[in-house]
Amino acid sequence: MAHDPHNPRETALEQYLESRGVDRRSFLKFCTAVTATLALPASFARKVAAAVAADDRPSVIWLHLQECTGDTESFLRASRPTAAEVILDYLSVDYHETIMAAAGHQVEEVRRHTMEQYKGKYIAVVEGGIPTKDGGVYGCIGGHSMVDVVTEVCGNAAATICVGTCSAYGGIQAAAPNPTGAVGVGELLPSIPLVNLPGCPLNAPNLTATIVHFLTFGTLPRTDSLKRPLFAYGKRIHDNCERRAHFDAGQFVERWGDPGHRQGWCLYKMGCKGPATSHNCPQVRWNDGLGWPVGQGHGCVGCSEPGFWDTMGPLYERLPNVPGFGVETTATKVGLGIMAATAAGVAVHGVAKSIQLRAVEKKEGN
Amino acid sequence: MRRIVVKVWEFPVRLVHWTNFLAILVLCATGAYIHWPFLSTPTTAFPYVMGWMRLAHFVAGWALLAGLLVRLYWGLVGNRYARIGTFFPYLTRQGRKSFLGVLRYYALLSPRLPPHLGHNALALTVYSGIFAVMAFQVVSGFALLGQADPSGTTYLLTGWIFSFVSNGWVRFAHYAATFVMGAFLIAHVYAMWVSDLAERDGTSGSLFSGYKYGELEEFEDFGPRPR
Ligand code: HEM
Ligand code: SF4
Repeated sequence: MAHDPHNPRETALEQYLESRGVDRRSFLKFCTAVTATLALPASFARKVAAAVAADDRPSVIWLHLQECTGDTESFLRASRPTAAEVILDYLSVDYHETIMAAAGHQVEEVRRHTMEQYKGKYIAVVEGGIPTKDGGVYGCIGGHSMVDVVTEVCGNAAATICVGTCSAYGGIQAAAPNPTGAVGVGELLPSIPLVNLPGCPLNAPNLTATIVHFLTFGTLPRTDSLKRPLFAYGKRIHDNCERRAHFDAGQFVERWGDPGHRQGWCLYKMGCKGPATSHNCPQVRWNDGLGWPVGQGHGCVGCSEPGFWDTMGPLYERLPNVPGFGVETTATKVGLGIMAATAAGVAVHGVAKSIQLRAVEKKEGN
Repeated sequence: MRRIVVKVWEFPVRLVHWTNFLAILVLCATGAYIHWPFLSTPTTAFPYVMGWMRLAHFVAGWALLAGLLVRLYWGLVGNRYARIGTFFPYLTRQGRKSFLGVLRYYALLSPRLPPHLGHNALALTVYSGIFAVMAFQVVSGFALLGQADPSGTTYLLTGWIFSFVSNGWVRFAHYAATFVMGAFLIAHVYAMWVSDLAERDGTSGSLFSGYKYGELEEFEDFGPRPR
């Protein structure tokens, strides 16, 4: 049989997959799933498979900054070796603090080498926020501030993928009063080619799909104004939620564990932030499509929106509290107070004005 | 003294006043439900409460938008009492004087309002504010609506808002403004009642008929000149 470049079986990846016990069928299933996640027509699955299997995959440098490694955990969730995992394994991830065996100056040397050899060609994946205050002293790697590391690594990358809310928007450490001046990569380096994949943690299939998009088309996927790919963040959770029919029907959980909760009714009144959050969690779900927060009976907390820690709270209330009035002061209390004061004011004024008018009219003699 | 009858409010002004009134009532009522859906349907009852509430909210929302646009247009082509400029009385010396007079009236320092045929100067100022609140509700409301379809026209026009503020705060402001509308409604109805009591110039009826009444001499400096 002649060499067929579109047949992934013949590439090194195929052999590698086989050695890890992932058969061709699983590989093609994976490619089809990614194609669907990217909202591409099914006919693209072949193109995707060919691109993924090609031998010229770019190097990846994965930076860990101010973060909890939750995105790596989400990504490497080791239930079983899936095709996705193995492929990311196979991508030349040249630098990844959590999974690399080497350490110290040696590995910093590897990073530098990759950057020089593949300048403008490698992919930078960034996990974690960047502390910028006081010259960036709040986070250093190998003697360099995270600001410098990110500027150097992302500035020379073909593309930067920010995984998780921290690298996208600063995340939890950027919550007021943001003591370390944490920002996302996009704020530090506004003009580099970059996509944000926010989420706490990020949803792994979206990263896989973004990388595959890059491999297949050589470009990053189309994004919205917050630089989030439209395929993953183009719709609100609320508009794709499996509980939406209960919302429209007016069937709401009133208390945790009440009959409505047990029947899977809508969590709107329990403070669900699905109406405020754009993400594809309802379709892609988590843990190999097993479940997701709202499906499990807890409202969405809006973890993938910018500044979610400051703007999505209180997590179990529908709306934020009134700023400057102390906690527990809802807009309802203040608003009803204003209306009551107005009503009381006009009542008093009405009495006073009638007395005045009566007196004047008496004086005028009519 | 000669009693006169003046056509003050033209038909479009009156029409828009009442469509806005109805729209705002519906918007406040359905908005209250959307904020806190107090009618929870048991499994067997009327099965689409929130759906209908939202539909009514959006239909009234479109009506309010239309009302504001018509009124804006009439503010450019209507009679002198309808013009946009009258909503900023404090920009002219006479307007400022009249404004002080109205304040004295409400502070019980003088029994009567300064002579006026349109609205009084304070009322006009408040109305410009309430028009701003309505415009804000329309913009924020359509922005919230547009989020359901980020590839749609509404989102194209309003989506930029969310680059500055999160959905949560837009909702918060949209909700808070509802109470401003409520407080305004109370003050507005009261002011109409009390000015009727003090003036007997037909203010309360005028938004139905369009006519106001009074003694000619009273309007000397504010007189109804042809436009
Ligand atoms: C005087 C004018 C208005 C008032 C008083 C009003 C009131 C409200 C209130 C109280 C809410 C609930 C907010 C919350 O707790 O989340 C709401 C939601 C909403 N309003 Fe309005 N509104 C007005 C005008 C409009 C207009 C013109 C539109 C445009 C179509 C609009 C569209 C919406 C939308 C889309 C929502 C969210 C509905 C949902 O999440 O299901 N509103 N409004
Ligand atoms: S559970 Fe949340 S996201 Fe789902 S329909 Fe209800 S409010 Fe919307």
